[in-house]
Amino acid sequence: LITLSSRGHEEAFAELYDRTSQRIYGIILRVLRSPDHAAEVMQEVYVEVWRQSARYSQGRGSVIAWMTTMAHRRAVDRVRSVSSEVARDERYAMHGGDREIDQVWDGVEQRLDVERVRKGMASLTPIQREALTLAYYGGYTQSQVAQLLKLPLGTVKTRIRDGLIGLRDALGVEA
Amino acid sequence: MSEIHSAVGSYVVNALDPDELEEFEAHLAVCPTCTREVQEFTETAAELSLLASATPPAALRGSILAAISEVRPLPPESFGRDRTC
Repeated sequence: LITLSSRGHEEAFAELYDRTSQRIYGIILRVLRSPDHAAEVMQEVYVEVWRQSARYSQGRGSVIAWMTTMAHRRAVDRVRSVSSEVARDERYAMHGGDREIDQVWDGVEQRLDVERVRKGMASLTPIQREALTLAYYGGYTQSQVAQLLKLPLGTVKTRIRDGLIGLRDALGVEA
Repeated sequence: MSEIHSAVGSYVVNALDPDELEEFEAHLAVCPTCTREVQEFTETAAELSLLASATPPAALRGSILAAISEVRPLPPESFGRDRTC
């Protein structure tokens, strides 16, 4: 589909959209928490995927990983640039980020692939899971995660990496 | 494991602060171990998006498809370049 899109096939791109939009919108919305901002970033991401479709290279990984990476990065960039950031951080700091973690576990379809990821997350230590959750779903920088969890920065860095190693092994991901 | 190597996880989830991001990207360019780990972690992090799945507003599909019909896809690159996004 990505190859057809790169040649200007709009129908192929529409199918790519239908197959990926729930995951892409989901991660953008989770990070931004604002449907208005999420819709804007969603549009930016898909236009960029369309523009860059000929430059996607299989050697660098799967299409979905290429797309979710782009979506996550743009959502995080948006969070860090909007002026409401201060209010958002204060609000979430008060809850110690707990709500963030609960949200991830609620309201998701019981599908096999979802279940696999859920189990993978459950196999991590609580600190690995919290650090990874705040960084990925919360869009916080590692210094903000360190503040929220009241841990040294070096510890947070290691836990995020260890969390990804644990999840990678649990899911059997290969590069 | 060197100090900078441990930043690979934070790098993949876009959690590095700007100064460290610059330092890590310079390291990444010369470290095959980190490059491999970045690829593996990128695929792993992509799986995390499954737990966040949400249905976008129906109108968004139309506006995105209308937007792309006015944008020309870029031609393939004639030289190697990394990380387009």
